Amino acid sequence: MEISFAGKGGSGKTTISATVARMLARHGHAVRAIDADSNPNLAIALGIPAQQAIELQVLPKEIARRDTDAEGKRVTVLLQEPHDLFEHYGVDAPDGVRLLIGSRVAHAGTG
Amino acid sequence: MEAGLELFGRGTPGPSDLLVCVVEPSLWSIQTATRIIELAKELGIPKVAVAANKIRDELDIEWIREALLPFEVEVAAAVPYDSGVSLADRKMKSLLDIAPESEAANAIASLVDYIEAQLHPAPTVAPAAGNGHAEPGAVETDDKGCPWVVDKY
Repeated sequence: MEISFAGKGGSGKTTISATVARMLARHGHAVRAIDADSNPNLAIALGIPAQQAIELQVLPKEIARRDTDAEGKRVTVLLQEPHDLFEHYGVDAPDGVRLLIGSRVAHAGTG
Repeated sequence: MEAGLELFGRGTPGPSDLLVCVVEPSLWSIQTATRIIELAKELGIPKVAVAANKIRDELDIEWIREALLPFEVEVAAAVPYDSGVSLADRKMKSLLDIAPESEAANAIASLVDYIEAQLHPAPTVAPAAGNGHAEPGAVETDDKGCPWVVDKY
């Protein structure tokens, strides 16, 4: 199941999504969290020490490609399976949450 | 487009199963939320829920409910304004590590109950609120059963 969190900037998406992720993990679910915010703070909200969080690897933009679908809509195409991305680029957060910082994916089209 | 919507126009890979729209009691937040809800429907996201946040009193939550009434979305949780959240933010720590017993953390636990109810649509015995004993076996079937939490739009 994929759950997205949306809302106006500053509304509390990061705090709420991080807390939800850890609580779900505590309930025994295998939780994978993706920070797709252009200003990624999910690592800190999940409880990764701030000093460590600023040095975490971010998804390289080469893992995605911008394309146009059959209807002419712009789409992002992942060049690797999401599970492989978590394996290669993910980091472990408290309570067993696996975190991927994907902000560069969001900027794939602008790079 | 205002903050919070920019990714919608770009076409992210595949719609989510559930979109949680975080709304605070401000007109700007409601306006952003209404656009998010409409776009979520266009994107084919099957379920949209609202998490009201920074709620100070009954009037705040009633106002949000009323403003979003035409959109037929469930308000899955009302998270109070909580000094524990500000403290966690300032200390750059997790809310669960700074204020695990805070009212905000308790309210978010009820959002987790709501999400787990979506994971297990019709449990014969509902898990007790708060302790969240998920039925073993219901989650680990395959990778598609795993919750993916995306702090996204």
